Amino acid sequence: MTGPSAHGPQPEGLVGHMAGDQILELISFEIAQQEFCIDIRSVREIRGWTPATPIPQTPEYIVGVINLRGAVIPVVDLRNRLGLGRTEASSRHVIVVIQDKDRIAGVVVDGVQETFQVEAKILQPPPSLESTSERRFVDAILPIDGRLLSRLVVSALFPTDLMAAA
Amino acid sequence: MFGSKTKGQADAGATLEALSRSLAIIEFDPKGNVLWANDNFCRAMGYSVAEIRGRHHSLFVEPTYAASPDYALFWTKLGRGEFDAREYKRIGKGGKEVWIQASYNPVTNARGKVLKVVKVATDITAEKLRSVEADSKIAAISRVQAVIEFSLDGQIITANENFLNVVGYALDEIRGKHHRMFVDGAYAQSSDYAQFWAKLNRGEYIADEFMRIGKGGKAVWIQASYNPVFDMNGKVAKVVKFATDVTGRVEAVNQIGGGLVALAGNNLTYSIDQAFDPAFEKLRLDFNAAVGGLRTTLGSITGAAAAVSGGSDEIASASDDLSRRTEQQAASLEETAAALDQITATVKRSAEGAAQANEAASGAKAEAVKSGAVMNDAVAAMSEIEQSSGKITQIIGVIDEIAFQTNLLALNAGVEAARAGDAGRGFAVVAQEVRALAQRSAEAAKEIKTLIASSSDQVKRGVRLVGDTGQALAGIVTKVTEIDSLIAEIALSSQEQSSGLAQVNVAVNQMDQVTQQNAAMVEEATAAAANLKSEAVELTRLVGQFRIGDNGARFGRPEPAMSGRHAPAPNPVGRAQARLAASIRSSGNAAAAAQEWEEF
Repeated sequence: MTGPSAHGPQPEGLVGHMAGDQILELISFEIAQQEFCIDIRSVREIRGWTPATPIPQTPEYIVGVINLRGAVIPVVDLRNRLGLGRTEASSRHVIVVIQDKDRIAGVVVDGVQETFQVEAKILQPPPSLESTSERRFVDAILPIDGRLLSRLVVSALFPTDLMAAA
Repeated sequence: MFGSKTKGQADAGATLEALSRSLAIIEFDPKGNVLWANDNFCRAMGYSVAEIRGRHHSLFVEPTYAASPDYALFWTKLGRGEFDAREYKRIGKGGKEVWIQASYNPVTNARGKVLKVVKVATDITAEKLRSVEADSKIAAISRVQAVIEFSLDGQIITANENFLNVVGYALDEIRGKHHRMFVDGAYAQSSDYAQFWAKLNRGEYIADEFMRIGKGGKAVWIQASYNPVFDMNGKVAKVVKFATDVTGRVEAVNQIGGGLVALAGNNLTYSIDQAFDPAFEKLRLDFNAAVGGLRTTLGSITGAAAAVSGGSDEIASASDDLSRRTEQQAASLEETAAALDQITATVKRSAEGAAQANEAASGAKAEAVKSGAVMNDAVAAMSEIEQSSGKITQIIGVIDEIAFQTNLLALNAGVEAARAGDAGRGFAVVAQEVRALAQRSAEAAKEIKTLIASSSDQVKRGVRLVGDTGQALAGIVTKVTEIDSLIAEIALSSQEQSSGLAQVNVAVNQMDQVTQQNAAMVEEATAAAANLKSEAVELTRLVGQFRIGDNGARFGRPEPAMSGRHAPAPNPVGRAQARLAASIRSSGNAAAAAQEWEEF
């Protein structure tokens, strides 16, 4: 995971800041015109929208379950999970299959943008705004080219009950 | 009895018997009762002896005479022995008048006492009747005619009352005078007069109408015949002149003659006022009545001639007016005919125009229908384009999907490369390039999709526009069809107008002909009226030659029989125009206008 990224803008100042010249490889996606990103290593697979089988008595952000090569995984409406409304899924939507340790789940996003590398030093801690939520969904803000990308906490994206069940 | 008494005197008896054979004999007793009658008497009176024996003599006389004192005296005288002999009128059986020449002879005895009366009679009825007839003829002649007798030398012997009345002399004034006192002096000296008397003396009779001079020199006209009267020896004894006063007749003839002369001189005022002899008065009255009638008639004729003259004047002027109006009418008709020709030409042109418009409308209709078909084709083509666009869109969708999937694959590849760490670095680059390609594909697809969408919109819009155009064309077709039928109607109407105008033309031509004939006739009538006028003038002149006096003069200039006869004929058109004008103008003006027209 080291070495300069051949892609994307990499400001020189970012490398070497925060524990030396650690390079982070991220994948960005879009929900409700907001840009988010997660560590690419937590991504297991990216696939097109597949209709999910709804599961009764599940939280609102659980779209249902899908069969991923024999493994039944839950699918989370990330928009809903982030409190940004509900996603009316279409073929243009994308399910990003994420893995946290041995937990696997799909999250529905509006679209995957790109994979990129940044120096860890550009990461900035999010301001302390989340007084209402006991769980943190964003652990860093990435200001890139005038844009602000929020890095999501992958483990927080998994359904709570599923987490418990696991 | 007669025989028994005279048996002794045979000679006397024989005499009586002889007398009894030729004479009617009857014997009466002194009272007048019939004793006996012989056959002659019975035959004359019509009785038989048995019927009259013992009857009184009064049986044979008229009852009035029998009752008279004369009749009583008659028998008294016979009873005294006096005889009576003359002509008697007696009555036979059945009232037959019998005239007898008789003698009543009383027979007396020695003492002079009348024993009986013997009546010896001869029936003279025939002679008596002839004599009475001759007497009455003479009397009749004398009653009606003037009779004068002259001696052979012309001296007046006597004259009857009629003659004296004619000449106005008394008998004493002329008796013994010569006939020449009754003639014109010059004529009395002439040899004709001498010859006249010489002729009479020779026994020739002269009958003629003569003018004679009466008392006081008055002229007397007589129709007379101078008749020589011969004696027993055939010698002329005297001259009897029978004359009729014809003065009245002659005067009447003269007066009538004068009247006729006046008539011949066209003088109808003449009348004979002097009374004629009553015998000819009727002639005078008739003449006067005839002249009066003629005068009245001629007066009427004069009046009628004047009226005819006036009437012919009116006719002539009316004919002139009529002629003028007929000319005006003819002129108006010609103008009408010309105007009609123009109208006919115009209508013909408009009919042709309508026919052309009809063709044009039909063409427009056909073109519109064709355009409709083209529109339908265009709509179909648009729809095909739309379908093609749909297919392209689908294909683009597929490409987009592929690009999307490729993108996902590239992302997955990138993810795998990241997992691989440094070993996957090159792979990551490839994946990145693949992703870029996929993204470009996706962008191109998106652009195409946008283009197709806009093209599809435009096609849709085109389809809509074509549809609108099609509807508009359908509307145009409908309208053009309506226009077509309207123009067809106009064409038909124009045709009808044309044929109607042709008929009107014919009618106007006929009117024109009739007016021409009228004009000719009016010309003839005008000529005839002029002739009539001159004839009337001539008639008036001819009638004017007669003198018919003041009575007739009033016929000379007759008043019109009816007032307003010379008023002009009413003008219905003028009145209608006046009414029209009255309705337009105020009421006050209208009355004045009406008066104007009345005067017109």
